[in-house]
Amino acid sequence: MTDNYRKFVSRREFLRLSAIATAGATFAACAPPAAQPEQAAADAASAAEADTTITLWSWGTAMARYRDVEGNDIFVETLKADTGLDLELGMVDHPDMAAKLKAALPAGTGPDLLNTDFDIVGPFWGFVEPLNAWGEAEWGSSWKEDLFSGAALSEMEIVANIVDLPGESLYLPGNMQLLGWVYYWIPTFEERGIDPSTFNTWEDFEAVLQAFVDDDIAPIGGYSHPATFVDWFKSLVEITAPGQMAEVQVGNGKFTDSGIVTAFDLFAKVHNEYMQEGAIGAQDGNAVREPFWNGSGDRPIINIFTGTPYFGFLHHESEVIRDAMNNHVGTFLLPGAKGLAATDAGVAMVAASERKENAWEYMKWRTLGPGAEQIASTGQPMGAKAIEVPPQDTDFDKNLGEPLLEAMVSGDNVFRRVLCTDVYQQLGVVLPGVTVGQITAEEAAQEVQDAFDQSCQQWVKS
Amino acid sequence: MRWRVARGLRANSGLLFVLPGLLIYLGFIAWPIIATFYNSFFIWDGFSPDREFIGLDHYVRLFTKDRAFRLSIRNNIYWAVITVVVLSIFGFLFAYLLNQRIRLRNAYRAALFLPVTASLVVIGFTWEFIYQPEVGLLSHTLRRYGFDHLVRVWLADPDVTIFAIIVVSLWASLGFWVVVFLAALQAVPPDLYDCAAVDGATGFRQMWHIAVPLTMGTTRALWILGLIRAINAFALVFLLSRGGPYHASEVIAYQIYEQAFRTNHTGYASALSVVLLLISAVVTIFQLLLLRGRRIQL
Repeated sequence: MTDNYRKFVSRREFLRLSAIATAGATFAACAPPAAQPEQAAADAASAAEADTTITLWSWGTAMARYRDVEGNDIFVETLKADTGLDLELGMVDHPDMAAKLKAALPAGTGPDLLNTDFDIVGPFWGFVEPLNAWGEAEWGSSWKEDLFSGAALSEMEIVANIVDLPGESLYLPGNMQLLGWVYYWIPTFEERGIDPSTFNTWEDFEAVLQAFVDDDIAPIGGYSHPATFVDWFKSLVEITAPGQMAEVQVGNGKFTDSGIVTAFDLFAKVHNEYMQEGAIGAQDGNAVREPFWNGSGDRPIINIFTGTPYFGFLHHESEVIRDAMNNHVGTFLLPGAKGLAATDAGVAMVAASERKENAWEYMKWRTLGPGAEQIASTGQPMGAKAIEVPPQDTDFDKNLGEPLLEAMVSGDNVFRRVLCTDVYQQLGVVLPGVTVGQITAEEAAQEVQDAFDQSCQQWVKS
Repeated sequence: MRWRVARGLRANSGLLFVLPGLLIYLGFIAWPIIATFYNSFFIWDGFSPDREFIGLDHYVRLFTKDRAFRLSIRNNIYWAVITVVVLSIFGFLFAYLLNQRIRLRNAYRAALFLPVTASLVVIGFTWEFIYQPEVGLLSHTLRRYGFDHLVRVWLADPDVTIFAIIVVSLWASLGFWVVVFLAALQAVPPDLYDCAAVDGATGFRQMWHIAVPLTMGTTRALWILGLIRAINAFALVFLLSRGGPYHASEVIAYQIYEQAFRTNHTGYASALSVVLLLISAVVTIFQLLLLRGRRIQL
């Protein structure tokens, strides 16, 4: 045996050392804690301090409404001041939320609270806490009707039916949105003598769009995001086959019915003829919207929905955008459509949460309390009946606030959104395919119907 | 008794040494593979207790009906062939050039290697901007120099998108190939070049008859690495196009992600994973055959 060899630990020595280390570790683990009274008090204080923590997962634009006058984010500070809760905010990109929830919720590693959106939380309602008992204990048996608007409640009822808990509440409705409403740049329309109130049919609107195109202006700004695609599609179905979206999702008809197939073609036409070149693949929405906010006239119309983040733009960190929203932006419902109202983001409590009291406090604050009032102060309508959007004392009140808030209350609020996540996902895939000519509208409709037949039967049941 | 225990421990001590590694292997590699294979025979969303046995239906659908799968296979083949061929040629040429005595040689080496050090996410976001259809650097430059007809919607054109992503992959990987080739070239004895020069061999002949054959072992190893990377390609597709438009830039790993995590078709995603595993196994066998009896120079 050489000296070099002796430098290594022999097997016997290794085993002996391992045994000693294991025994030591076992004794250490089994030894009774030698906590002193002062230490115990400190631990209790520490635990009490930890009890103010609450974790929430959300996507960015849903949180953008808590800003001071300079546009700084004050969400966490506002919550702390109002409730004493310490928020740990997990920001997840909207398209990635479902994947992250799938990994975390079954494993019990998710947050205490979720910002909900039908499109992403759909398969995960089974992991959230039923809230009827909480609500009744807090406000009495008729709490839902007392506290929330009809449009908000209709969506809550559908969710409960889907999860086979009819009458139950699985989230509290937060801010509301409308679909089928276009934002336009008022000065550009005025310069051209265009009055949106004269649009009686979709063809009237198309004639205006074509006039812009004839002047080498792509009138609509569009960009690539599954939610944007689906929002456009839903809005266009309300023109080609009003109400049919709701019908096919409960088994009365199919996505391959002619009215819905026509909506696929119309979607492609809008993207190919009236939006800027490459809209279907433009991933940077801010870059697309910039010419709109600048009021250059190069892009007089943007998007089709008024939830995230459009109401939020009223108090955007950019002064240019705030000025635009307050003074230069108008809206009109797509001619021929009825429009849709829906919850933009609700709040759900995760059933596995160990801080449910804190979670409930947050939910009340965010949907009915000062947190909801803060959102409403930014021009965003809420599902809570008692919370109204205060006047902004700018042209916003006349141009956007009045028509949109009126539509929210008195419009056609029948729930006609895409309900099943698989249909939503499939639409996000096939709509670009139709737009760039890879597949026909009929093939796209068939693929969506196949996705529905394969995975969405529970919606029919509900 | 004590003696017997000691003898037993001594006899099995090898097993004790490998036990931690074995447990990790069984828990984190073997068991997931078995579970994936098992799950591929079910319709299952990945988290609910209910699952429906459907036998080989997922595999039948995959090979007979799934257009996205066919496109994914096609794109993986494009990815493998283009990256391996282009990186072999240009990686070697750049390395050969940077192995010569030229000014600022180290600066060129550093510049070529720089993308390798960058995070793929950063690379993705950077190239997303470059490929922007309206204001992106590429389209803007093409328009500025009168090549408007070449401008495309780079990340939403079914004929272009996968190639646009492969270009990013080439840009991100070239530095690694150059460095590995460079190491191999520096191991070639300089005497051989001197002898060849005495015999009248020009620069190109020296490269072709000395440098290329003597670095072939390294080249083969890089081919295998390139193939494996191509099969597992995911991040750039996820960051730049999310597989679109309409599956045109999808690759198998991305399709698995979509099915497993975005649409919750865990059973179908498992079938896809099994197929990906088989493809990887075939490539690995090919690798073993290719390298059998040869020395790898890395």
